[in-house]
Amino acid sequence: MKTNKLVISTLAAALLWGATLASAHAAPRGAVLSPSDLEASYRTALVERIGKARAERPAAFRNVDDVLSAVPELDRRKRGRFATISRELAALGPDALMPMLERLAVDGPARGKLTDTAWLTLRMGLIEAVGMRRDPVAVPVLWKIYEQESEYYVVRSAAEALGRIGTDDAAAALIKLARTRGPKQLAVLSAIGDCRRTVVARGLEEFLRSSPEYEATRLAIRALGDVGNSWAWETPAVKKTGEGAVVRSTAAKALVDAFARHHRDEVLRIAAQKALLVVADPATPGMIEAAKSGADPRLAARLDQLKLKFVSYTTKK
Amino acid sequence: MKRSVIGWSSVLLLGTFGCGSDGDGGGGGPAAPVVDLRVDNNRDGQIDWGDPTEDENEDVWSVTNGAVFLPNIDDDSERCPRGDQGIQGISDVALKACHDGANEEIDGPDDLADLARIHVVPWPGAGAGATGRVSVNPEAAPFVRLFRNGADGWKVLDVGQLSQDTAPTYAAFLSAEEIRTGVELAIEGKDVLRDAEAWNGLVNVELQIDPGGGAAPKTDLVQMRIAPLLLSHHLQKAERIYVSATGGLDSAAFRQDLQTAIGLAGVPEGLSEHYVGDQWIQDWMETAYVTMPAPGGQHKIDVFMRSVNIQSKNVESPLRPAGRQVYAQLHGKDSAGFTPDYDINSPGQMDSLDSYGNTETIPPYEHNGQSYPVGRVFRGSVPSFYVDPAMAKMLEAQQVQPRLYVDTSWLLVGHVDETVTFLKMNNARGWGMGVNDARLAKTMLEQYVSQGHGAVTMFKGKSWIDFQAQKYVPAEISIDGVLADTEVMAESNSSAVEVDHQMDIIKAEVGITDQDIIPMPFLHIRASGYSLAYQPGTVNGIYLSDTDFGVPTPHGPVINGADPFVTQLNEQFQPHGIKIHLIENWDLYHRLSGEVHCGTNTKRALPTGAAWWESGR
Repeated sequence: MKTNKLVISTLAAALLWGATLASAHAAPRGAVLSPSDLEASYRTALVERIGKARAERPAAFRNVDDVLSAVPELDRRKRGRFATISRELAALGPDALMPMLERLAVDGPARGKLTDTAWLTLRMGLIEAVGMRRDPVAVPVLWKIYEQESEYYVVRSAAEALGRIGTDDAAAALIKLARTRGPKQLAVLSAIGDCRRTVVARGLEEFLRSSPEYEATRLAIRALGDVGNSWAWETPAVKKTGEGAVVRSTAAKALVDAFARHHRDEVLRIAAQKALLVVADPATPGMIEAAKSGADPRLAARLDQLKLKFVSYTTKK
Repeated sequence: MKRSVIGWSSVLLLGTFGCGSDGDGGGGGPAAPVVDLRVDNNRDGQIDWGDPTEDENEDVWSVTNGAVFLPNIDDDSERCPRGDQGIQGISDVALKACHDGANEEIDGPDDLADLARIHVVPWPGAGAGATGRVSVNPEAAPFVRLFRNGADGWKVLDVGQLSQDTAPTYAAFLSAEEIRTGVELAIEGKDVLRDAEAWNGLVNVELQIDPGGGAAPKTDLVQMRIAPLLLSHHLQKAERIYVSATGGLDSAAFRQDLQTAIGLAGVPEGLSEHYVGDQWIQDWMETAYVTMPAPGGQHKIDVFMRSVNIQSKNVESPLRPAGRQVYAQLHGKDSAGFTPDYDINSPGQMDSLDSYGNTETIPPYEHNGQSYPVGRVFRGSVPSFYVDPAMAKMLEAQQVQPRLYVDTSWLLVGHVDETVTFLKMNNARGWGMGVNDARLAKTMLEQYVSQGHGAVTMFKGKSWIDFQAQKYVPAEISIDGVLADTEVMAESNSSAVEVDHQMDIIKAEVGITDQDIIPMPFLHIRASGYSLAYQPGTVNGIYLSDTDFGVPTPHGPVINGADPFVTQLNEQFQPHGIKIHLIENWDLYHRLSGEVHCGTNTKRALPTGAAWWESGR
C-alpha cells in the first residue's frame, strides 16, 4: 500500500511538472532570461540555431526536458544542500547545448510550484551544464545572466560557466570582476578557479598581494588551487591551451607567497597548503626554500613543515 | 501536591529545633545515631548494606565511585501516542514531551526499573523525638524527580524551599518511625542533560537527622550523576538494522541485497523496515543509549534521536517529518524516541550538517596521555559551515565523548560518512579506518589504460535519472572518458587533498597511521561548486559485524572478467577477516547523492570495554 502511495505521488509530481511546462508558453521566456534580454542579432542567430538543432535532433530537446521534469522529484528526495542535474545534463553530450540554451534564455519552464531549492537546482544545473560544453556560443547568454541575476548561486554558476569556456575576453573580464569589490565579487572568486588561464592565475596573484578582505583572500587562495589543478591540466579540454606549466607555476608561487603572508591565520594557512597540493607544481619545494630567506623562526618552521607535507603527499604511492 | 514555602520552613524548624527529649528511646544509654544514605556507590548494580565500598568517597562522584541514575525518557507503559496513525496531528513539541520522565508517576514495574535507588539506612535506636529529611541540592532539583516508597506505594516527593534563601527542591521528611525502619527512595532524570551551563549533571542527596534531645543534627551526603547520552560506534555488535522502505524497484533491489548481507552477517534481530517516503534513514535518525549499573552488567535504554533538520518555520512542528518515526515506531519499553535541542533559526544552507550522516563515533582509544574509553563524537563542522549550535551544545554537555570536528564544507552533502569509516582491526588500538582514496582510483584507471583497456566502460547499464519515471540518461562511460572529464578529475584531485587534511586531523588526535588505513578508491565530481562521489562511494557502507561490511556495488569496469574495484576491496579487507558484501544502491541512493550507509541505520549492543563512568570524564 505504501508503494502505491509513493508511485502515485511520483506520477502526480510528473503531471504537475508537465502542467508547469505547458503554462510556460503563455509568454515565452527562459528559466533565467527573456529573449528580449539578449542583443538582437545574437538572439536572432541563437533562435535560428536552436530551430535548426530541433529539426535535426529533436530527441536532444526531449532528453533535456526529461531531465528538467525530474527536478521536483529529485528535489523532494535530495540529500544535502540541493539536488543536482548538471551531471545528468552533461551526460547528454554536445547535442544538449542548444536545448539547454533555449530553456535558459528563450523558452523555458516557469517556476510554477517549484520550491526555492528545486528552482535553484533547475537554473544552476542548466547553467553549469552549458559551461561544461565549453562552447563560446553560450557566452552572451551567460554574461547576461551574470549581469541580471542577484542570487548568489546563480551568479556563481554563470561565472563558473564563463570560466570553463575560458575565452580570452571572458578570462580577462572575470579576473577584473574578481578584483572589484561589490555584491558579486565573492561569487566570482568562488567560481573563477574553473577558468584555467594564465591571465587568471596572474590576476589572482596580484589580487592576493593587494591585501583583500578576509573572505576574498580565502576564496582567491582556493581559486588559485583550482586554476592550477594538476589533474585538470591532464585533461584534453584544459591541456589544449598549452598554458599548463605557466599557470601552475604562477599559482604555486602565489600560494607560497600567500602561505608566508598569512601563516599566522590557521584557516588561510591551511587553505594555501591545500591549494599547493592540488597544484602540485614540481618547483614548489624550491619556492618554499626561497621563501625562508629572511623569514622569522616561526615562519621558517612552518615553511619547513609545508615542504615536508608537500613532498610526502606528492610522492605518496 | 506542593508544600508551601511557609509550610516547609515550619517543618524544618520543628525538625531541627523541636522539643523532643526522648533520647534514643531505647531505655539504655544514648547510642550513636545511624545517619547513612546508601546508593550504588560502588556501581555493582545493587546496594550492599555491608559493603564499605558503598560508603567510600560517596560524597564526590569520580571515576572510581559514585552512583548513576538514568534520564527516564522511554515509555515503559506505552502511554504515549504511537503508530503512524496514532501520532498524526500531534506536534513535534508534544511528541518530545511525552516520556516517563515527564510525569509524576511511576509507570509500572518496568518504569521503576529505570530509577536508581536511594536508601536511608535504618536506625533502630532512634528516639521518638528524632526527625530527619532527605533532600537534593536546589540546583539539580529542576532536572530530577524523587519518589518515596511508602505504605501506599511509590509517590513523588514534594517540592518546596528548605529555607527562605534557597530555591525549591525535593525533600522527604522522616518521622522517628521511618528513621528506625529506614526509607527507600528512587531518583530519575526528567530529561537528558541538555545544557551543562544550566546544570552539571550531578545531584547531591543529603540526609539530615536530628536525633532529638538537644543533640546536634548529623548529615550524610551522596553525589550521583545522570547518565550521559552516548552514541554507538562500529565496534559495538550490531543488533538490528533499519531501512526506509520507500516502495519501487530501486528500494526493493536495495533491501534485497541488504537483507542477504544481514543474514550472512548474522545480525541477531535482522532488518526493520520503516514505511516512510524519506529514504535517508541514516540522516533522520541516530541510535544512542543511556546506561546505569545493574546486577551483572548495565541497564540500558536504547535512544533513537530524530534529526534536528529544520524544515518548517512552524515552531510547534519544525523538524524533518520522517524523524517522527522514532516516536511512532520506536518509543516504548527501554526504548526512547528523543528530540535533541535545536535552533529553529539556524542557517538553512547548513542544515545538511545536522543530518546524522554527519554524526559518527570514533571508537575507543588512548593517545598522547588522553583516554577515550567510549570513543568520540565525530562530525563535520568549520566556522564558515557549522552544525546547529544548540545540538552541538547538547552533545558536548554529555562530556564523555568529546567531539572531534573535521572540514566537510567542500562536499555537496557535507557528511563525514562520505569519506571515512571505522572497522575492527587486529592492532594495539583494536580498530582502523577505511578512507576514500581518489588518487588510488585514478592510478587504477590509468593502469588499465596503459594495459589497453581504456575503451572498457564503467557504470554499464546504469543511468543518472530515475528509471521509475522512465527518464534515462545513460551513465555508461569508458575509462578514457572518465580520465578525460575535467570536472571529474579536477574535483577528484581537490577531494583527495581535502580527505588528506581530514586524516591529518584524525591522525594527530587519534595517533592512527597509514598502516591502519584501508584505501577505498572512488572518484568525485563537481556539482554546484561542491564535491560529490562520482563512482559509488564504497566507504559509505554499513558495518554489519566485525567480519562483514556491506558496500555499494562499485559498477567499475570489468577487466578480465572482474571489476577491479571489487577485487581491490576484497584484497584489502580480507587480511583483516572482513568479508565484503555488495549492495546495489545506484538507483535509490548513489544518483541521489548518497550510498548504503545513508540508507541504513544500526542499533548496537553495549560496548564490551569500559563503562562510561570509568571514562574519567
